[in-house]
Amino acid sequence: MANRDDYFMLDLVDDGGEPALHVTTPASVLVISDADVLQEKLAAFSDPVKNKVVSNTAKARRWYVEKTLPALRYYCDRFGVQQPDWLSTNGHWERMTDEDKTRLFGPDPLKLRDFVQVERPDIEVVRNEEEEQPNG
Amino acid sequence: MDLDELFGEGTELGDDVVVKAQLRFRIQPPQHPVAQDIVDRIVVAYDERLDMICREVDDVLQHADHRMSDRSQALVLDLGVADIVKGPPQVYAPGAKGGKWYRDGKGHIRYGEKPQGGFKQRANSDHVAPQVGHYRPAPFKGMSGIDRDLTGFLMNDGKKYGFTDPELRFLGSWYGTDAKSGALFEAFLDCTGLTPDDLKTDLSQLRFGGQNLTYEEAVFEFFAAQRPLFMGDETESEDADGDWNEILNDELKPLLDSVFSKYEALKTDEDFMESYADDGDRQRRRFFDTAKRTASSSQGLATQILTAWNPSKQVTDVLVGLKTLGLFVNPSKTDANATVQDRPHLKGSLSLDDRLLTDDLQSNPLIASGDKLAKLSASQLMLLYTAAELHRRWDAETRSYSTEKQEDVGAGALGAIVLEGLSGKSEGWTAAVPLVRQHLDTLVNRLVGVLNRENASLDQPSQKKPKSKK
Repeated sequence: MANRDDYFMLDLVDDGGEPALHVTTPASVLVISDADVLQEKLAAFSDPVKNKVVSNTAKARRWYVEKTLPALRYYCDRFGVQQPDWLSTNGHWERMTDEDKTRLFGPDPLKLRDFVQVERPDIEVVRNEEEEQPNG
Repeated sequence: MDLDELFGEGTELGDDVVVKAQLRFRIQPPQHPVAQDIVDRIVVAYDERLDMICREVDDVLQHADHRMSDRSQALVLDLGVADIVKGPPQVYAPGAKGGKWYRDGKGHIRYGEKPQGGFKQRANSDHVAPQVGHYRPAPFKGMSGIDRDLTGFLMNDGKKYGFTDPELRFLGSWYGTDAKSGALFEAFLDCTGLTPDDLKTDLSQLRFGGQNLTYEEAVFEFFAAQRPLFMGDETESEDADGDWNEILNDELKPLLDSVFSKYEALKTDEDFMESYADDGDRQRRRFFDTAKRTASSSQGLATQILTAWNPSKQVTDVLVGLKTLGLFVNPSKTDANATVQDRPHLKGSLSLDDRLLTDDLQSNPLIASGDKLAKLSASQLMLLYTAAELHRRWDAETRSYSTEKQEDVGAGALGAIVLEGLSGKSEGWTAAVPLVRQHLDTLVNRLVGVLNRENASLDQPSQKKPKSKK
C-alpha cells in the first residue's frame, strides 16, 4: 500500500555520544505544501549559497547534497513537477575529484541516494484460519 | 579400454563427434530413513547435474569447428565408468523422508536448524543475542496501544530516564508522537498485517512469515530488509553484502536491542509511572497558578476584545496575554522538541501547548478540572477560547494555521466548554455569549493571519546534519 509517509532515509549516526538509528523523512528536511511553494524552493536552492538558503560550510553543503536535493526530487515527483537539470542527477557530485569532495564536504564519503519507500519483507503474521472461520 | 564395448554406440552429434556418457551406481539402500533421504537427494541431484553437464558439452561440441582438428578419430567423451544398478527416479521433496529444512531469506532450501531471528552472528562478534520479548509493545499500567502517547511524553522528559536525543528521535519515528506520525511502525504493521487489536494481545503467541518468526525477529527482519534505505543503490557485491551484514550485526541489532529494552523496561518503572500519571495534574496546577499570578495583567482584555476599537493593538495584546498565560509553547522548548523529534522546520515556530489545549476529553487536564475552569476571569476564558481554536488549526507539517473562517469551522470541545464557563458567570454573560463568540471568531481569524505571517518569515530550511558513521 503506497503511502506518501513511507519515504525514508535511514542512517546509523555517531555524533560523539551513543550511536543511534536516525530516521529522516522528506518533511523533516523541507516542508513543501504544494507545487507553488516547491517552485519557490527550487528557485532558492538552484543557487543555494548565493540565495543564502545554505551556509557556506562543509556540513551545510553536505546536508544540501545528501538530504535537501533528494527531498526536492521527492517533492517534484509528488507534485508532478519536472525536475530541473541541476536536480535530476547526481552527476555533478559524482564526477567531482576526491580532492574537491574532501575540500567541499569533509573527509567522509558522500552518500548520494534518494528517499525511497520502505521495503516490505514477507513477514505477515501467521493466522490460524480455522479459528477465524465461523462455527457451522 | 574399448568404450564401444563398454558403453554401446553412444550419441552421434555430427562431424564425427560421438558423446558417450553413462553413470553407473551400485547402491545398497540404507536402512535408516534419514540416511536414505540423504542418498536419494544425492542421486536426484547428481542426475540433474549430469543432465546439465551433458547438455552443456553437447552445446559446446555443436558449436566447435572440428574440421580444424587434425584428429583422425571421432571425439569421444567419457564421463565415468561403473556398474549400473540404479534405483527408481525420485521426486525431489525437501524433508519428504525426514530431516529438518527451512527456506532462507532468498527462498533457498537450507538443511538443519533455522538460525534464530535472521541474526547473522559473525564469528568475531562479541555481541550476544538478547533474550526474546523485549521489543514487544507491552501494556503500560494495564493500557495497551498507548505507545504514541508515551513517546510523546518522553520527548519532554525522556532524558530524565536515561534516553539520549537520538534514541528519543528513533522512538518518535517508530511509534510517533503528538507532533508526527509513527510512519515506520505503521509500515511494519502494514507488512505484518498486525491490527490495533493484535497489539492489545500477547504478541509472544504470534508468529510471522514463512519462517514463523517471533515479534522480535520480525522487527529485525523488517530493518534487515531496509538496506536500500540505509545504503542507497549500492551494487550488491560481496563487499557490500559484507558491509551490510556487519552493520546489521554490530550496529543496528545492538541499537534496536538497547532502545527497545530501555523503553519496555521503563513501563515497569514506578517513578516513571507516577511521573506519567502526575503529568496532567502538574500541567493543570501550573496553568491555574499562572492564571492566578497573572490575573491582573489580563484585566481589561475582555473589554478590548469586545470593543475592538484598535484591531492591531487588540491582536498584539492578545498575543501577549496568551504568552503570559503560558499557552504558547516556550520557544526554547519548541526548538528542543524540533531537534528531538527531528522536525527542524518547526524551530522558531509559534505553536500552542498541545497538552493543555487538546480536544481529547480524557486527556485534557483543563477539561478534567471541572468547575475550576469557569472560575477564571472573563478575559482569561476568552484567551483560552482563542488558544484552543488556534490550536485546532495548527498543522505541524506546514508550520501554519489553517485559514478557514472560524465561524465556518465552529468551536472544538475545549472551546465549547470555555464558552459554557463564560455563559455560566451571570445572566448577563449568558445573554452576551453569542455576541462574544462573534468577536472571538473575528479575533481568531485575525490571529491566524498574523501567526502565519510570523511563522512564514522564520521558515528556513535546516542545515543540520548528523555525522554519519558509515
